[in-house]
Amino acid sequence: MKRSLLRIAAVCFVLASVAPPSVNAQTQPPGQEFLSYRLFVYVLAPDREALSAGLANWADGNDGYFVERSGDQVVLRTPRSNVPALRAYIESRDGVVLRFEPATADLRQELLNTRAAVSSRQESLDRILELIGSADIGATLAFEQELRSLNQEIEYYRGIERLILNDSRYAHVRIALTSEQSSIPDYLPSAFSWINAIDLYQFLKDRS
Amino acid sequence: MKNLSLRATVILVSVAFLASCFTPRAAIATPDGFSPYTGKGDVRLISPEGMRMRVRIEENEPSQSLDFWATALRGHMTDAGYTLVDHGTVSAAGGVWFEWVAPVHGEDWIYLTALRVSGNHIVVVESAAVEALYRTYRPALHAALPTAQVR
Repeated sequence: MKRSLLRIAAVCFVLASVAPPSVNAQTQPPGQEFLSYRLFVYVLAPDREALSAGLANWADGNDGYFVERSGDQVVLRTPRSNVPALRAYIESRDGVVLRFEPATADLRQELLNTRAAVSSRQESLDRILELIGSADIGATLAFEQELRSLNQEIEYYRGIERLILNDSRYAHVRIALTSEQSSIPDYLPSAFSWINAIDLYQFLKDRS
Repeated sequence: MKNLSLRATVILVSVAFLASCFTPRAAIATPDGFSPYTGKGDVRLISPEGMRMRVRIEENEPSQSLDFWATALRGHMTDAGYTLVDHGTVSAAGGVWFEWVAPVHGEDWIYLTALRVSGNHIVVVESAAVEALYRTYRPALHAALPTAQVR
């Protein structure tokens, strides 16, 4: 009786905890389901704070979410198909896109390795479930420990799989905001010589 | 002949000494957190993080009012590409201050410029730091601005 209960508990535990991943790569365009898309955008913004807040709201309202937001930068995740709309939004808020640098990475190998790790552990788990029916109490306890261990590993690898699929589904976008151009424009001398000497860069160089 | 040359030397040294006594020099109360360090005649102060402050004297030539110089400086800085983030007056001393933002190695720096006209001279105060550090010392800098003067 006790042995039967142990078997039932072990099988129930395993069946309840091994669930398929919720994120599905099938939502991606054909041929791109294994690509991670990263984008860096450098934006000249007249009002960084307003644009930063606007971008966070834009991400939330367009099937994405923001990861980090400050006056200097916004990090957000958004479906890859939204990237052109993101650029249009920035420009509609008077942001000037100074740099727009996309990059992709192939996640296929990582995903296959992860799925293989899940698969091999799943096979071991199935084998143990077959054997547990004919095991004595001592062996059942040992099997239960092994089941727990395998289950933890399967959950770990399924978590990684979900992350990979999430990476393929959502573009990772980092938008750096600046209120000024990356360099001061051509030198424009004043009619008054001492005013020409008032300059941040000269001030920083003057270490005497 | 020897006496004559000695007398000339004494006169020259005396003139130089008197001239140095009457040469206008910049002065300012040291803001909290800053320490003075030796510079080339200007007042120079530095914080433990390396944020610097400089106070110097310029000739008020052509002689103009504070408003004139403030407008000239503001126009020049704006034309040069700086973005004005804040400005105000130093009420007790009759001066003006501007805070500009400009990029340095990809970071936004705040550049403080303050002016005060004192007779034939203009006191110019400058300080700058990356934005976060500047905000830390901003109250101390602004507290010191009314004390900028020609001595």
